[in-house]
Amino acid sequence: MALLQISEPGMSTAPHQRRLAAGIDLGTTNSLVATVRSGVAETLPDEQGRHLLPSVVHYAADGTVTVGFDALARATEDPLNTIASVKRLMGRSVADLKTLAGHLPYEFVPGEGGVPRIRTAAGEVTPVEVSAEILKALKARAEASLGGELSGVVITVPAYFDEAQRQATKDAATLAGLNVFRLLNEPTAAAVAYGLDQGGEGVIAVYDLGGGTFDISILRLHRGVFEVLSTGGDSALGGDDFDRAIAEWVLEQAGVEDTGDHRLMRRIMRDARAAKEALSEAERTTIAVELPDGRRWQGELDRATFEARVAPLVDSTVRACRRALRDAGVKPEEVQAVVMVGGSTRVPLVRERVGRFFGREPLVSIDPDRVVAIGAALQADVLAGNKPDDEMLLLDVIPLSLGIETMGGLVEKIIPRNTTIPVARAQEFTTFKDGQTAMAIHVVQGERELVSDCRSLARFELRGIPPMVAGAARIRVTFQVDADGLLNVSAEETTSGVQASVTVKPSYGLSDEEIERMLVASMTHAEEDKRLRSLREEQVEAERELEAIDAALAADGDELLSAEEKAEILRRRAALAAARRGDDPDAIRAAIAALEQAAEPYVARRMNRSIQQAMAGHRIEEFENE
Amino acid sequence: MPIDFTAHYFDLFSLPVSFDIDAQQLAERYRRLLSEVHPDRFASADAQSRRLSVQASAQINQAYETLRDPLKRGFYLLELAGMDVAPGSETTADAEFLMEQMELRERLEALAGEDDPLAAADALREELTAAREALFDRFRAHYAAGELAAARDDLTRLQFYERMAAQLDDIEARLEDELL
Repeated sequence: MALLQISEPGMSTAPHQRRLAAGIDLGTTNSLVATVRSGVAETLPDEQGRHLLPSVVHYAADGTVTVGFDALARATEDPLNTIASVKRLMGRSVADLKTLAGHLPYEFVPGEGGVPRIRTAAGEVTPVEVSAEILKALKARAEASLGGELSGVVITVPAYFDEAQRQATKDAATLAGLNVFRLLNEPTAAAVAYGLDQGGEGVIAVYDLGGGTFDISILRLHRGVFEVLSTGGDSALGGDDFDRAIAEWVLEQAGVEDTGDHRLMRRIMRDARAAKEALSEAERTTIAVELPDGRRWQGELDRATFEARVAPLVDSTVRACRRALRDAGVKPEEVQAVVMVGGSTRVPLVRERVGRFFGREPLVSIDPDRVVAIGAALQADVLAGNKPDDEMLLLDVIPLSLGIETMGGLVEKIIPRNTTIPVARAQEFTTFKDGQTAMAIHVVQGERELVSDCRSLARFELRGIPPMVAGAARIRVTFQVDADGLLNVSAEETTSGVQASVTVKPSYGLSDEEIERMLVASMTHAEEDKRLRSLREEQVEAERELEAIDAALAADGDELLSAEEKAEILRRRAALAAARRGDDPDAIRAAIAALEQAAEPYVARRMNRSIQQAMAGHRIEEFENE
Repeated sequence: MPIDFTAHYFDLFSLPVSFDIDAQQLAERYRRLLSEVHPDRFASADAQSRRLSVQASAQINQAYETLRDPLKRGFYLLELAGMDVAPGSETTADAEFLMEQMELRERLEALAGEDDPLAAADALREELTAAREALFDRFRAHYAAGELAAARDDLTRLQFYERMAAQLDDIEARLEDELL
């Protein structure tokens, strides 16, 4: 009888297997994947030994999709079908893109729900689908390198990413077939890479100067807990601006007006970049340029001249650091570590000015291009359960206030920015008409007072409100933000206890149906694959449930459960184990639900008990200290 | 089913019900609790535990935010004592207080025109801090004496000063950006 074989007290199901996990830095310009092997976190190279994967996707007319260097190589000849910097488009509406579109050569077509679609030779694609291609390439790289399927990943996002941008990132991961353990803020990942969570205490500044973006984040670390105190930066400032400063100097020296000659500018920008990189080591470097009139100009750029040119840019990043410190309520001398991220932090002037402002040498020993991915890999390893004794807990805050639209297009804030997540807030609403059975709620994110100045996240429709006179119904809407910063809404009419159903219409995210459709569309034998995929997903979930309940029962089943309760749980556990061996996803789902229902009070009791134990442990500790 | 947290926030952190609390102790217990239930502890767990963990963490975060902020803590104490404390529901009809508010607002707006705006901002901040401390002392006394309506009035006035202080921060930030 299967029941007896598997439920012997104190027996765990199987020896703990190391789960494969990876950290992914999904960057604007480049992406990386890293993993922990033999206790060391390292980024994984492709077959040619290259660690960076350019975040570029090319769509050919025959439907072929290429990612990375091969796609990048086509950017010049086929710009309309080569999508770069897609991160800037994640979670953005068609309207948002008008401000960005000047820099982007793509043709946009408005899609359903305001999600922009990019027209390519292979058909229309959404930014989520483009990102999913990058993630698929990284997944394939990791699985080939590790020799097995990833149990889950940690994907990094900028600390200031709003709900729509985080949701879009998670959707892309779903589409790529990845299980996301957690979306982790990039600065937190960088701090983890330096092991600042290991026993350290204090305030950490993470200075991230990439190719086209600058971010400064102030974190506080206390007993292994990271809190993001504030973030700041400039989404249009980066190493490219340094290159431009050199290019402008070259044009001046060569006596050339900015002719609008794009090919010439691209060449000069490329040389400028090489010169910038050379000046990180050397004191001077030579630049030679072919001019349109056939002349050849050659000049020498020394570091002092370069620094004079870029100093205003570097100073503006320092001003942003000052603002971020002020927002965090921290003085420069309180900062105990400064982490440098992004290739542009190799510029000596950047290190010097940042070091001077914070009054300490910045940390630069880990490759600034890889540091975020390495931190993500360390966290993924913990979340996969490979380091059960690790106490590290990474806490994040919600970067922008969540609110709802009220009369007159005004915003009422429900969850203010910088609130630690997970968080839940309830708000009561009432009806304004007799017999009203439905109401619409518009959720926005941002700090401004007018709805039109904030980012529209979603519209909810509450249905099934029992008919009453106007103002009598009390509809309690709960907004819950999880550890990834993603929003969930539920509603209940409190006088009658009726659960109002909530229909989410993301303002420009994708609905679950759309994602499901994309998943299906991306497969050749759609129906069969969909069923297989669904079966696989349910089996994985069933394994998790079985493992969890076995571990729990072994730990405290006899203490926390009556004999009848335990017997019932074991009965349903056996039913789930049987269903899992079958091939019917619906049967597995039903068996999971049945087990969850029986185990619900038990799971709650266990969590309450661990809370009580945490407090009890505290009292003993304090007693000992006295 | 939400996790059973019928215990009030002070109990949750094993702290006495009081306006004066040990901030460090609170922070430490908060972190201890959260590290037990945080979703990261359940990343590879079953869906049910993951859901419950989000709810429990949200509850603990809510409790912590309430207790660590003196103003929110004050309102929460009144709530526990059975007072109706719908936020911002009342305005104090005290003419003297209204005059003072107007005068402070005018000074705030005039800051940018001062000879040394940053020094003027510092002076104003000191005044605000002193006024807030005095009000917290009054709240303590009123609360201890069971004069809850008066205690609520103190908190309502404090709300005004907190808003002023926030506005002052914004103005000072702008001034600093212009001068530096």
